[in-house]
Amino acid sequence: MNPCIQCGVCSGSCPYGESLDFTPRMLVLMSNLGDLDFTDTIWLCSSCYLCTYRCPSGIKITDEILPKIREIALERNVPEELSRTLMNIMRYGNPFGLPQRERIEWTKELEFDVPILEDVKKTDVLFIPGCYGSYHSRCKEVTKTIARLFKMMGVDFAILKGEKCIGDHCRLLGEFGLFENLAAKNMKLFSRYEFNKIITPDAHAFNSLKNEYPRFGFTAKVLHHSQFFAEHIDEFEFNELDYKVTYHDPCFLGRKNGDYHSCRIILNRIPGLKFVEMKRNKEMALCCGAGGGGIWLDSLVKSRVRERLAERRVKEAYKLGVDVIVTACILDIPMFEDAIKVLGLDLKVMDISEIMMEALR
Amino acid sequence: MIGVIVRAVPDLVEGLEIEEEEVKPYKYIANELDEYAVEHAVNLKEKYGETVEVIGIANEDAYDEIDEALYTAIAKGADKAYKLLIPRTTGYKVAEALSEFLKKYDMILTGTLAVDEFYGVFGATIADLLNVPYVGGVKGIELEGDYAVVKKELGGGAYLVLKVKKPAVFGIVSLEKPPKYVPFSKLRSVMQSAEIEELDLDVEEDVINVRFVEPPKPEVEFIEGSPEEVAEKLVEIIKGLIR
Repeated sequence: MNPCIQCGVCSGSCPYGESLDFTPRMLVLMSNLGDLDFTDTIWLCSSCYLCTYRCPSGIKITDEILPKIREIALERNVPEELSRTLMNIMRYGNPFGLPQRERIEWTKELEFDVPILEDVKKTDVLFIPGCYGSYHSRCKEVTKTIARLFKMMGVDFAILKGEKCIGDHCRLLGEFGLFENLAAKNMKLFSRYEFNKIITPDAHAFNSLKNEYPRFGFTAKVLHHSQFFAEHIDEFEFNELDYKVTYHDPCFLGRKNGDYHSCRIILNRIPGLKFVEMKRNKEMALCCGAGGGGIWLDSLVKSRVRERLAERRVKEAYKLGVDVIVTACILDIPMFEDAIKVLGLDLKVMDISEIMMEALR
Repeated sequence: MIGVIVRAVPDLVEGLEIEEEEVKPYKYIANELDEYAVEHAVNLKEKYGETVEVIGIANEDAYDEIDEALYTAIAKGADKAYKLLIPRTTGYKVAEALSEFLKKYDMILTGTLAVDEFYGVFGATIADLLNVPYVGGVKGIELEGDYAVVKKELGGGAYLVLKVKKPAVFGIVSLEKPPKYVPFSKLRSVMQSAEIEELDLDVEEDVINVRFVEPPKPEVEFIEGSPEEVAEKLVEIIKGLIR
């Protein structure tokens, strides 16, 4: 039994609140009473963390209550787009159903060789691009940019060809068995090689490696790529950039892991850049809609909500008159670029590493 | 009682190694349409209380890999699973070896096609050997006493409703509702508790000649330049083709 006082702050905070058949407040109440009822709007939660962040009783709604209800929902009726995705992860270790051997294909698009940890056995930085960073055509551009920045900085880094989905979305979807299986497989692979830290541009992979894998005994240091670049900011000499930009705080870097500063440090160092904040920034930031499996549930989301979160978010940025919306989670990019195309806006989406690279040219 | 036949086929996602005399899959997987057949069978179990048994067919390389599909079928509701080891052979020999065993079922479901059997004769061969009716391209099944009422897809959204006296064999082509999802932990617990019975049947070897013939590669030329230059070059090429 959790100490819920039924204040309803969670329901009022939920960005999809008006579309939910059962609000977070009701779900918390029902799970306390042990009498659960839910509909397919249980899949709308994009794990934005606003409800958990604001809950005065400190109830872990995003990390515990929702996934536990979803665990039951998984055995009843799962939207087809989600069941196919989960089956792909189970079979092939990635949501796209692409072969494992294609995971490192992106390295062939680079002008230099990327060391493979299975071959070199030892490295300083283990770079985990995650599934989107490894397979998704737009996200691969970010992965290549980060690799190029590492190369420029002289970072001793390597990637794993046997890397599997890190699994944060599986956990948030209540697929705990699959999450634990993925964690076990990845940790077994990690344990065979020597490295000092992990760096990843995927805020969800970052979260799981940093906060969830330790439950199974994982101890390595984990950094988000923006944190690593912010730490080494003095090593860069940026050229002037004549852009007006805003920054979108990824939920799992910001609210979940408390880092609002790394990207702002970097952006403030680029001369000429006009940086403006969106109205909803830092702990108030609006989610892109990708988390908790949201990135795989587009049809269901569209059938249940008036406007997708990503659409609301890019509109908010667009109203500021910015040229670029800078993000730091690799999943934001397809979410926002899709929303921009749907709305027909003239707005660019760049990862923090991409704007750094632009300022280094 | 319903019997469902699930064939292990090359996993086309993982790819194949193609040599002139042999095609070597990297991995095997259950044939997708056969998995749909399992889905129809467990739906019939839910609706009419039918008993469902699943028979996995796999060669030596796929003999362990087929287990996952069989356990998944049990997790979805199937009552029992068997598997049959087959040599390098044809669907006809498999059907021949199985036909006596299959007599206990009043309905046999399998995929209309398999990724390594595009002719769609496997189900029909079984029906022929058992001397019972066969309907392929089936997307829906209802039961009415001694009869099965099936929807046979005709394409373009049209379908035929057929009333077929049981026993019968049906080749499944699609699903009417999304497949059930089996959470990983449930699959694991089934793997630990359920058993797959191995069928001791002799399947005759049959000759399959594999000869891989690659068509000649077309010459590809990328035309570069401004739209006018590209158009000009294109016109020249087309003129050359007309002559």
